[in-house]
Amino acid sequence: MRYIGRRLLHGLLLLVGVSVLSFVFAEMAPGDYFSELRTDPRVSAEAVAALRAQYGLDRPLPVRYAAWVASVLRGDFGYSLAYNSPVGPLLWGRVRATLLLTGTATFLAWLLALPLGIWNATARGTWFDSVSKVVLSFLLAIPELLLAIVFLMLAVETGWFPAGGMVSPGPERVKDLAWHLVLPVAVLVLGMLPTLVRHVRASMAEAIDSPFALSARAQGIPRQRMLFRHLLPAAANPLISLFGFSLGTLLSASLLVEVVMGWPGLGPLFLEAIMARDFALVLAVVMLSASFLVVGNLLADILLYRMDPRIRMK
Amino acid sequence: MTRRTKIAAALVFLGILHGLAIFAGFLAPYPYAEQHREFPYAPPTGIHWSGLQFLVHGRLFGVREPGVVFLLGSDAYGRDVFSRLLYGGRVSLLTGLLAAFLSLSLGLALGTAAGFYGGWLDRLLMRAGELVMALPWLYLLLAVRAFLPLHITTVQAFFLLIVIIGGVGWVRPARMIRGVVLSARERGFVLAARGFGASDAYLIRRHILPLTLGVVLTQATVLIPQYILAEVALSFLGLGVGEPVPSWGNMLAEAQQYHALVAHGWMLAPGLAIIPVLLGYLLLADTLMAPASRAR
Amino acid sequence: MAADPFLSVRGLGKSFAGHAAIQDVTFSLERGHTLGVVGPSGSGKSTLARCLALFETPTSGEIRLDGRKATRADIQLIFQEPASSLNPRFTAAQIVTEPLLIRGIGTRKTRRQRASELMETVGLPRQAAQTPALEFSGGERQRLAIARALAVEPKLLILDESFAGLDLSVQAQVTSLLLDLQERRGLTYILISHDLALVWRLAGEIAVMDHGSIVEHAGVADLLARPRHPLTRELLDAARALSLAGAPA
Repeated sequence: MRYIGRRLLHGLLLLVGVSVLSFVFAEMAPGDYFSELRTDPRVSAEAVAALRAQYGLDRPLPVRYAAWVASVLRGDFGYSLAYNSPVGPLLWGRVRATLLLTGTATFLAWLLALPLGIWNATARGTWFDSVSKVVLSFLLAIPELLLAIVFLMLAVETGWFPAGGMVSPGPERVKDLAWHLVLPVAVLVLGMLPTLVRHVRASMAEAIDSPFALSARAQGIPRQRMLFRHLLPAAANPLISLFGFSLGTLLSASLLVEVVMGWPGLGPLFLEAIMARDFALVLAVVMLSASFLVVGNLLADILLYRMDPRIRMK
Repeated sequence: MTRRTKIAAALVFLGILHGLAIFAGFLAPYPYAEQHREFPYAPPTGIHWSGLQFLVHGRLFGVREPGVVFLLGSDAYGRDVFSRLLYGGRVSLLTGLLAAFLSLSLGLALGTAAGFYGGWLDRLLMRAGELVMALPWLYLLLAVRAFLPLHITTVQAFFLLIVIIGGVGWVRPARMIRGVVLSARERGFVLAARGFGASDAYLIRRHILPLTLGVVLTQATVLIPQYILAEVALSFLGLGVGEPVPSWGNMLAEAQQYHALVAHGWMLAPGLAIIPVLLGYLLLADTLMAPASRAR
Repeated sequence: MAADPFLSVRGLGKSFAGHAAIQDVTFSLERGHTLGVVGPSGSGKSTLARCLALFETPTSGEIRLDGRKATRADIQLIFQEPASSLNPRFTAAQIVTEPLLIRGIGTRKTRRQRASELMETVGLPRQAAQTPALEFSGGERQRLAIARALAVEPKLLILDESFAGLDLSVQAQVTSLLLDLQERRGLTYILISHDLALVWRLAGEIAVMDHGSIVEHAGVADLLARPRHPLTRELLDAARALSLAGAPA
């Protein structure tokens, strides 16, 4: 339990560090939401200054940071000038959308990758292994951006799937949501699959070749039992670590997919905030994405801790 | 195929692709900004050998006006996609290479310092690395980009992209190099040389750095394609290189006319062009990282 | 009045974190002689080697060589594992002249000549000068290490378990090389080993160490005939039981 506590603390410190850095960078950034106004000759400099003061943008940095931390602890994440709304409500819908997308994609990707990888590991050297290696390599070389555009094009052409967005008006919300999910999830899954399968194959191969597995086979333990009770747990450690590492890549891919396919997640929100130089919103999204990584890695750490007795020894 | 043949094949293949981009000025029949408003979204013209002229206007080939040769069709403004593909490749590929050079140099310097000297320097650098890695890479790049001026010239954008992408990418190479340096530091021949009175600079230069070469090369084959994709993503989102200079990223942004995209399939060329490049680097990376089975 | 001995070690001690690895080590050695230092693991032999070779600063005591305080130029250490103390990618020439390069002695041309000389001295062919170290065998690498140590013309050589991992015939070759060098150049050796049988072939006198101190120090014949300390007797018995060559009685 202390191990988990330490990891949690570490994550929190990391988030604090990120927040400080972001604040400092935002401070150094030329211009803010009101800079665009300044170039408009109809708006006087005093009016802009007054607007700045009204939103507290003219107070010194440490004061602003302290105020921000205090408000975050209260649950208030600042005010988005671009959307003219408190940041909090803007975020939650988006966070749910991104979680839905990435969660579904992760689940499906692992669901496909595990059997494929295990099959490859047991069938090493056969034509199936070689073919799948080639296919997956080719898939790896296809940028997800291209896939997203092509899928969307097909959706528009064939009408089989909705052309972007998350929901269409009408009844049957779950079914509608599912239809909208298909294409974005497909892109993400296809993007993740090559790396996942490769790693599953490698971990399983190592487990299969290990001395304890060889002796287990010699003892005549049936294959099913071998797989689930011996080999998978042995291969689990590197795979759980992989999950932690691949989170960053997943979120980045999801950003692109969300923007291209109009999925209302954090990605498009982030982009708009950047274009509008709405730093309150930018800051919030930055903290959220960092939090995603921290939480994801913490989950992976907990899982590793439960599954790998060696970590408990340390 | 032996290891060496694979590496050579991959290098030759990549060399050709990069060469095509480098010589865009010669190989492309049109300048990237030249518009032919009368031919928007023209489908690819075939090659009619009779009308083709070679070595005109300092370029490899062209056609006599008012003919046009759009090998890969034209875009909304009647600009030749093939030419823009070559010029765009120059931007995207070069960004990848230069950013990788930057991040590897940084990673080498910081990783060596951290591994060799240890102590507070090591801890500081590793903590800094953790901070950089705290965000998903695209979010990180966008965040850094966000804090910089939005409206900049294309030249500025090009160099800015290189600095941003390379500047945040030092962490993984630095960690790997740090590992190599940590173990190299304890090797017998390093201790022996120290015993002869060798300075730190000598030890690093003569004994330790050569051991990092392998890691640097394999990291390069992994990072360059990642950085090419980063440039493409940023330019696609409008935060990288912009009009009128083409990059594979901003060209793909133009392809987002979905209702007509099927009819204008050639607009996807920049996305398709990335595939062979990535395949080349993938082959190189896989071959380099597979354990060398040299019996010794 | 007797002249000062060539090597004089007085009250040498070295502690790590409060624990004394060696304490109050005192002995002297004449030029051209060989001292063998034996003892079980943990007796402080390696620490003594490192202190004598000036790799560590002793916490107490003094080392005087040839009438003055010892400097690194006069004493060289030959390490335990020839394989790891040489950079496998360096050529033989680079290895043997590295001390000269580091100390800025000579030009590239003179160093190249020196490399050939040194290799010849240790019985390696001149033509092998450009061969990378990893292509040499274990025994040849130890010769390279010796050649490297000779590059700066030291007066005293410390050999710390330098024969470990070499098979017997190779050990014999290196041993005769060392004896030959000693005769020709008047080198003084301190040989550190846990293998008493190896030591009694090369050394003129033997010091036995236990828990950081010298518990017995005598000429070889004396030690073998009349061992005084129980540890010495133990080591002798073990060595005689294992020795194929048969020890002097």
